[in-house]
Parts: sequence; structure tokens; C-alpha cells
Amino acid sequence: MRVLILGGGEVGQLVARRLIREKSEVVIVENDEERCARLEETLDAKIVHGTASSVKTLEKAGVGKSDMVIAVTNSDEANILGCLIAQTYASVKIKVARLRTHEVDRGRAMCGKDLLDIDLVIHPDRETAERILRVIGLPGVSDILEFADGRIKLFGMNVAHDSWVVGKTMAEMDEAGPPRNSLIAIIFRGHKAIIPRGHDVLRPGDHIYIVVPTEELEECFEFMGVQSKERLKRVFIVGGKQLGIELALQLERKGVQVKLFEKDLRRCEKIATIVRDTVVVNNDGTNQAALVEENIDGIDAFLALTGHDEDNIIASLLAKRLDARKAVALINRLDFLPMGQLLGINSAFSTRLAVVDRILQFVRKGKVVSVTTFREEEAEAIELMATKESKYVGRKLRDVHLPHGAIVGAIASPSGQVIVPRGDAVINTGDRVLFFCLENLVPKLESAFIAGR
Amino acid sequence: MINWPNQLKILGLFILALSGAMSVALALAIYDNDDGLFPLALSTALSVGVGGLLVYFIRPEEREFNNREGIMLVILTWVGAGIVGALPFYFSPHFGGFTDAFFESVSGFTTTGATILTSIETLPRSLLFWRAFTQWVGGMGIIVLAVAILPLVGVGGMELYRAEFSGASSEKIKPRIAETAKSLWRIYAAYSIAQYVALRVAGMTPFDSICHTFTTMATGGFSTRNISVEAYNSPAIEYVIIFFMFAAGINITMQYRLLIMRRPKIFLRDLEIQTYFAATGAAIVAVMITLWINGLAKGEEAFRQAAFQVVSIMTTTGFSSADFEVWPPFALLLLLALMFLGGCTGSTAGGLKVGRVALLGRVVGREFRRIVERRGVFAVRFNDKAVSENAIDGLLNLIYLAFIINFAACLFLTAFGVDVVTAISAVAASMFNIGPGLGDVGPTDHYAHFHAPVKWVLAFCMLAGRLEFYTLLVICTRAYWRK
Repeated sequence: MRVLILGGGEVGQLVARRLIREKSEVVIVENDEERCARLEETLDAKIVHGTASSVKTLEKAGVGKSDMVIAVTNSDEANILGCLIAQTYASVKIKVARLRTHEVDRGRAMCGKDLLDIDLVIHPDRETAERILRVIGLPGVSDILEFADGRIKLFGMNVAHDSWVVGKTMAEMDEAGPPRNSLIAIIFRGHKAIIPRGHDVLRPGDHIYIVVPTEELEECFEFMGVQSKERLKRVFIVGGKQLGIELALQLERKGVQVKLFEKDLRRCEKIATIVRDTVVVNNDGTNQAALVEENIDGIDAFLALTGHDEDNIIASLLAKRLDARKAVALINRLDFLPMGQLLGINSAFSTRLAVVDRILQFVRKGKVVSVTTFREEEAEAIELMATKESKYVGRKLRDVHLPHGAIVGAIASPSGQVIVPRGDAVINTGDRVLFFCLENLVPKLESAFIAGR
Repeated sequence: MINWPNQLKILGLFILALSGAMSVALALAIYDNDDGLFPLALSTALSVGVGGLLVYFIRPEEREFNNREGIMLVILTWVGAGIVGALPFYFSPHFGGFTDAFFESVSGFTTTGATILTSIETLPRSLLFWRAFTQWVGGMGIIVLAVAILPLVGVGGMELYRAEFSGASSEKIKPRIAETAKSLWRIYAAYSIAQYVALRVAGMTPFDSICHTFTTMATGGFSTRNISVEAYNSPAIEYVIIFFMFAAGINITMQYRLLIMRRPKIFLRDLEIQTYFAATGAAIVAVMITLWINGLAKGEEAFRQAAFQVVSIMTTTGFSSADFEVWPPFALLLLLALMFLGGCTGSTAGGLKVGRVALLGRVVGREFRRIVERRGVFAVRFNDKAVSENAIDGLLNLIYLAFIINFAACLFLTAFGVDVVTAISAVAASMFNIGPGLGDVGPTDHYAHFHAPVKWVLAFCMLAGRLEFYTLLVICTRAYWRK
């Protein structure tokens, strides 16, 4: 497959790296010359210097031979125009665009079949806002991901020092009587990702992901000692960018008291005309005195969503120190992302990673239903559709030889039943199977599962 | 700077149009052969002459209006209307001199309804007709009429429209100003026809029906009787007039949305209209209970009296169906408060306007939030839209200015020996274009007993109120005249 990526920023690079590993031919169009040189050194791809909205550049990049265009430049206009050129000049089959405009709903109508025919429009802020909203009322949970159309949930949590699970092996955990269908799928320990086996031990400070069917989620929270959802009353948001406003609007609609901190007065005035009950505070949300003055005491959640990772980390730590029940930080630099968890921030999100997830889910569409990358691609959750040819179908799990470092997390049958399988479970044709594996095993697993023996 | 020839030319056209209107009254005078014949004939001839000269001899260079010219033209036409309209009165023996004639005419065009006539019934029908007609013309705004009729004003017309309708909710309903003015004018005319028919059905004579229709739709309040609507002693007539006064107090662009565009949701969700209905209802109930408890009226009559007076004062019409001066102090003070409140923005009513007062409430509410949240930034919302800080500044300044002028005028009146209640209510009744006040200018009294300077100040107040204070006062500033 030949893929044309417009924009060689972080998202473009991550997607490119992944596709290259899967033996796709990748061409990247990037208009910053220095960055082009850097991409040339680090990626096994063709790099074309120029603007994404130029017909000439795209022709040079071989748009005519491409099977797919992924437009992830910094400019919405360039992304749309790039897709339009791909459509009209080369009738490229699959087009993906990232659009930042908050009028994305209208944008979606415009991008649909009749006009631009963009197959996937990704709105990074909305994507991230949805993920934040899922965990905002759960102090112990860092992230919740959905698979199999929401029938399977995967949630992340930190293992606290005083947690009863510390020192337990997987086998022991199994004996302690967890909800029937739950499974610890991945353990992140420092920089390492572990796909646990029976003898692995949980340690304090571990960040673990647990897979569970949606209906057993609450039960599983209880088992793991995670406080379940309470009604949110007060939330602080720092940073009046689009993500902050989006969340403020969604939260105030649910009757939550929101305070939104923004340093720039003009920006504050603008935001005040958009939000309704949210109090827009013209103050520095990374300043302890300011937070105390605005009564941070006893807030339910603190969302640090400025454009600066460092500010977000500092503000979240400050909020934790001031007893915020839940601190969420927006961290866009991927190498900072694991640090959030090490420092004790409850959740760290990256809009870029959210975009990459969405793109990869879409790109691998077909037999791969969805895919989620954790951290800097150390581990992955992929959801595959079992077809007749697959060599795993019709055999008990204990008899198939999964590559080391991969496990089956859940099986969702077409009838709607979801199980977290034990060794005697059988995969049938049409099942959606959720695998967890280290990222270097992905191609092997995919080819083994899809292409047959 | 100001293109004077252009201004005078338009003023000339305007005077010609007025003389056309005057000739309707003249026709009635010829038909009746009453003593309005001579003054009306002379005034018509004079205005045709002056207007014709201005139009014929002035050849201005064609140029679009700028903001300053718009303001100047508004003032010129209003003052011009006052003078031209005063001519028939001036030449008639029923009026004592030019001051009285001008006062009556300005009171007409500004739809105030304050009169210096001590005995209205002795006036000939033709002059009564002219008196009512000035209000009907003034009601919709001489300028809006002019814009619809005189295509000459063309593009620059928006400046005029702004000066005239500086309300918060006076967005254009059609892209072209002349089209907008015409649609509004049509609603105004339709209402007038409906009211004429209703009054006839209720048993009023054709002539009185016409005159009262003219002065109701304009929220003017000139009556053909000394004791106003009370003279007919007919509940049916009173109910008809209550309904049309109330309708006239509603923003006419909103009426357009309701009646022509059939968008009742926009109409009903409008904060100003909601407040208008609520305030009217509450005031009626309060006055009705007061009347009942004090034994002045009960049952249906209490309701009717309360509704008539409340709606009449609030919409700044100024008819009366009872001598409310004998009412208890609570009811009187409530009526005085309603004088300040007024009708909706973009209606023919005067006053501070319900929408502005409602917005002021929001601004005050914002201030409370600001005191609590010292570093909070809040927007003031009106009808779900954030109101710009400029608009809020403008509102606060306007209310400040209104009260300053109000107080200064009261002070001036008391200097001429007018008592305090009369002074306060006379100034409010003039400035907010109501007509009758309290004390010596109550519903059955008149303004004739004032000294000439007092009448001039009150006439100035009427114009100031009608033109929303700034428009009239800005030409007194140096900034206006500086290039």
C-alpha cells in the first residue's frame, strides 16, 4: 500500500513509523526544510518539501499512485485542500483529515460523500475531551478505552503503595475472586511494558490496564479498590484553549460548577461570551496563591490543559498537593507522557496520541477493527476479526501458540456475548478478538491471525 | 463636514411631504367649512412655498451621508416638523401664541400627548384631525417614513435608522433599509385599520375613531375630549384601546417576526417581550388590588381601570379612563415608575425601554458576580447572546444622561415656582413622551398654566427623549463640529 502523509509533525511521524513497519510505502509532504532533513534521516520514507495545498507538490509526491492520503498538517485549510486535490486530480480512494475547527459537526457534513468525500475527519480536541470526560469522576482511573462497539472496556490505574494487590501474582489475583470476566492485560513498570503471565507480581507504582466487559466494570472497580463514580460538583480547568472550552461547555451542561483559568484577558472576554455558567477567571492557574484564592479546596477534578506540557505538569502536581481529588494533565510530548504517571498525576492525555489512535484504527480497517497504542508505542491493544482462514479459529486457546508477549484479552461474539477467555475458550468465526501485545509483535500476530497458517 | 445644501434639500422635500399631509386636514376644513380653514390654508400654502423653494433652488452635489449628517438631518427634520406642524395652531385663535403652538406640535410629533389646550372640544374638527395626525406621523418616526418614501436617502439611510431606532433589538429584518422601513410601515398601517374597525364596532363615531386610532398606534395620547377616553364611558372602547396600546408598545420588528414571518418562538423567547408582559401583568394586578382595597372600584371595573391606566402609562400613550390623581399614593408612585420604564425598544413607545431596564438588571447581576469573583471575567447575556461591552457602556451612559437631564429640567421647573410633584412628573411625562403626569398636569389638567420658558424646556425634553438623548445633545459638543 502506498500512503501519502501531508504534514511531518509528530502525528505524521508516528503514523508513518507504524505504516513503514507494516511494509507500506510512505511519502511525507512537509513544508519546513529543516524538519524535512530530520525526517529523511529518521524515517525510511520519501520526503517531499512543499506545501500540502499545492497541486505541484502533491504531484511530485506521487499522489496519483497513492492508495490513501492522510492530511495532518497544522492548517485545517491545507488539510481540506490537500484532500480535495487528492480527490479531483488523482481520485485517491481513502482520505483522512484532521480538522481543528470547533464547528466540526458542520465540517463533517461538508466533508461527506457529496462534496469533499473525506472518509475520516478527526477532531483532536473533541476526541481528547471524550476520553477525559470518561475518567473525570474516577480519581483512581487514568483512562478508559472502549472496544467492540463499547461492549468491552479497558481501564488503566496506578497500583498504590497501600493497595491490597501489592505483592500479589496474577495467579493469586485470580484466586481472590475477581469478577468472572476481568483480566490484567498490561503492566507498565518504569519504562517497561509487560504482558503478564501467571507468575508476574504487582508492585507499587505499577500502571496496569485491566480488560473487563462493560457491565462488569463497576464490580471490577470495587474489586480493585477503586472508588466508583460520584457526582461531580466542582471542576477547575486551566487554559482557555479549545479543549478547555469544549470540556467547560460539556461539564456545565451537566450542572457541574466549572472555573476556567486563562492568563490572557482578551481571551477571557472571548471565552466569557461562549460559556454560560462557567466562571472565567483571569488568573494564572499554575500559581498556588491564585488557586487557593479561587477556593481549590475540595474540588473534584483539576484539568490542566494549557498549550505547555511543563505548565500542565506543574499545575497538576500543585493541584494534587492542594488535595484535588483528580488531576488530569494534557501532555503532548510523548516522552513526557510516562512521567505524568511517575509523578502521581492521575491521568495524562495527549491529543496527538488520540489522533494517531484514530488514524491507525481507520487505516488498518478491514480485519483489524480497532487499535490503541499505549505510551510511546511500547504495547498495543488490537482488535481483530476472526475469519475462516485464521489458524486460531476452532481451537482451544491453550492449544494455540501465541507469540510470547501477547495474550487474548477478550472475545466478543457476534451475538453480543463478551468473555475474557480462559485456556479452554474457543475462538469462532466472526468473533472480535482483543489482543494485547508488545508493539514489535503486532505484524507477526496480525499475519498469523488473519492470513492463516 | 456637513453638506448643508443637501440637508436643506431633503428638509425641503420633507416639508413638502408634511404639507401634503396637512392638505388632508385642509380638505376636511373645506368640507366642514369650520374655523380651521384659514389657518390650515395659510399653513399649507406657506409650507408648500418654503418646501418648494428649498427643493427647487438648491442643487446639492450628490453624496452619501456620513454619520454626522445623519444626526443633523434627524434633528433638522424633527425641529422642522415641530415648526411646520405648529403653523396651523399659530394662525388659529384657539392657541395663545407661538410658544403654545410649538409646544402642542412637538408634543404631537414626539407622540407625547401633553397639551396646552384648556378646552379641547371647542377646537374645529380639522384642527383636531391635524393634531391627531401629527402623532400618527411622528409615531413611526418621521424619518422611517421618509426613508420608505424618499428613495433619495438611499444607502446612507442606515445612519438615520440608527439614530432613530437605537434600541438593542433593532436589527434589520431585510437587507435594504428602505425595504425594512416599508415592511414596518405596513404593520403599523394594518394595526391602524384594525383599530379603526374595532373602535367603530365598539360604538365610536367615525371621526373620533380615526383620531383615537392615530394617537393610540403612535402611543401618543391626544384625545378629542378634555377628559380623554373617560368621556365615552364605554368599557368596550376602553378594552379596544387597551389592546392596541399594548400592541403598540411591543417592538415592531418582533411583531414582524410574529405576524409576517410566523416565528412565534422567537417572539415568545425574547427577554424584552417576556419582561414587558410580566411587568404589565404585575403592575395591573398591584394597581387593581390597591383600587379594590381602597374601595375605589371593584371586580371587572377595578381590573379595567387598572389595566387601562397601567398600559396607557407604560406604553407612554397617556390616555386616561379615570382621574387617577385621586388614587392612593402607592398606585400613583407605581404609575410614575412605569413612566420611566416605558415600552419595548423599537416600538413607538418612549421611556427608558423595557429591554434596556432588563439589560441593566443583567449588568447589575454581573457586577455582583464580579464582586464575589474578583478576577472573574463575565459576559452579559441578553436573549442568549453576549452583549458587547460597548453596548453596555452606551446603556449606562444613556441612563446616566437621562437622569441628569431629568434632574436639571426638574430644577429649572421648580425655579419657576412649580411644585415638586408636578415638576418631577411633568418632566418625566415630557421626556418619556407620555403626556399627562401628576399634580397640576394630571390626566384632567393641561400644561397651559406654565410660564413660556418652562414650555420651551419641556418641548426640549420631549425631543431629547424621542431622539434618545445623545442624538440631540451631541450637536452641542465641540467634537461634533470639529473636522
